[in-house]
Amino acid sequence: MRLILIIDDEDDIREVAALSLEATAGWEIITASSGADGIRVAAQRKPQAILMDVMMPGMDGPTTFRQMQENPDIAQIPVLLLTAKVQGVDRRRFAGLGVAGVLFKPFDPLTLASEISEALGWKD
Amino acid sequence: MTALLPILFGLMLVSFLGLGAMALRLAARNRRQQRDIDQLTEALKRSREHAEEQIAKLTLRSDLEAVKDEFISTVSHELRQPLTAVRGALGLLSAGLLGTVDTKAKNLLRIATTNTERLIRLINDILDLERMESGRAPLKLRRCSIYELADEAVDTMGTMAEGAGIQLDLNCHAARDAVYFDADADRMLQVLTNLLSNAIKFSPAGSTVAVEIDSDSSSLLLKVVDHGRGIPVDKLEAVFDRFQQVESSDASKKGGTGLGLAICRSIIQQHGGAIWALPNQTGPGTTLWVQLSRTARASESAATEPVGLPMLRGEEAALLGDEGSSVGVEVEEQLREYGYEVRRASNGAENVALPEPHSNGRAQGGSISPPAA
Repeated sequence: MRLILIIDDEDDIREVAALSLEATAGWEIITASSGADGIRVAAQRKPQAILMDVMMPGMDGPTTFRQMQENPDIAQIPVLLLTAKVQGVDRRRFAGLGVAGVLFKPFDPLTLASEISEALGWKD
Repeated sequence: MTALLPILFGLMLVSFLGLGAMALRLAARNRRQQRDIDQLTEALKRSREHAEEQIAKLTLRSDLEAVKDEFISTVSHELRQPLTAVRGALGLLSAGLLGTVDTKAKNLLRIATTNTERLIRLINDILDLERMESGRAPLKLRRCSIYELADEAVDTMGTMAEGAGIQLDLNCHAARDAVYFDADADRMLQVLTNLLSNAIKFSPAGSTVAVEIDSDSSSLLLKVVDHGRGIPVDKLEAVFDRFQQVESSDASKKGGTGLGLAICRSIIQQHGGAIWALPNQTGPGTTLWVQLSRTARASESAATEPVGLPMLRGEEAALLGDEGSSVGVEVEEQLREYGYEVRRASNGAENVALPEPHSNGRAQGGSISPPAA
């Protein structure tokens, strides 16, 4: 049973993403509403993947990711960024970070799980 | 000795007079020169003020452009957030993943989901068009085959065509090696799938949509032919404008954003080509014409003439292109069908006296309509 951590400051998006993954793939979902909180929860629960928003107050997605990379407890957990910034210059910036993938908002709730699986090479 | 005095005095008087005259001339010349200097200084001051005004205007315009870009980028980003939640919620409900829904509720959910998708496409299209027109989306050119691109587009639209009962045909009349040109493949594909999508949407079930490819030594000609309800003559140009529909219910019924052709035109123009629409000569329906230059553009050194829409004025049309180019002949025939008198001009710009561009001010990428009766 896959455990996924969703980090997004917007309650509604967190809720909808969680429901989508639960209903379409049957994954177990834990959530956090900030980068700092996300790091704490990730270290505690060791999810198999992290789906993280880019634009967040406080620490944004890329900053949080870099901090995660410096934490040996969680550095190996693959991170997927979720972003509304769809322009070429932004995509290139994200690609340079070393995340496992970038997904765009608004996502299709019926295919979110399969997009995540595909990005991470999960066969199930 | 005393006889010399008058002579000496005379000489002195003459020299004084001479000097005086010289002094007067010098003074006059100085005054003239001073006037000239003053006039030049005045002119210099005016031209400097003018230059400063121009710089201020350009700076203001460029600042406004930057603000507009920033605004559109921000708005597009902000709109995506709530849309994510709405799309997510509706999508899950609509798919029945959270319990079965009765028929009427299901229909309402379908309406909500469809319109959410339309909103998303609209935001994407607006952002896309704005970025292209502000130059923030430069083309990534490489050598492409128009045939391969058309083939890929036909493939992509296969499911949609099948669902609508439309047959898609691809006919290439050009030689195998005569289909190459410099293009941004993704953008060209965007144009082709858009044209096919329009053709399919407005075609009756059971009909055919054909893609025809032609080429000559300097240009490529691609046509998308449908047999649908057609575009009225007075709307042939307007369909390329933003948010123009032939019938007011089109956007909601056909799911378009009203920006598709504006985006196509922007892309084709960036490639130095031309795009226009004409009613079919025989039978109902419309043909979308796309003309592109085959000359290499990817290299900086190649200075190419954009292919350019035939330039129209009144009942006269001038066509750039070498005599006997088969693409040119085809376009020329079409124009003659529509009652234009066609004049050919070679690609060299020097000795071409073209009529004024079409009165709407667009010489390239607009569309042709038959000359006013």
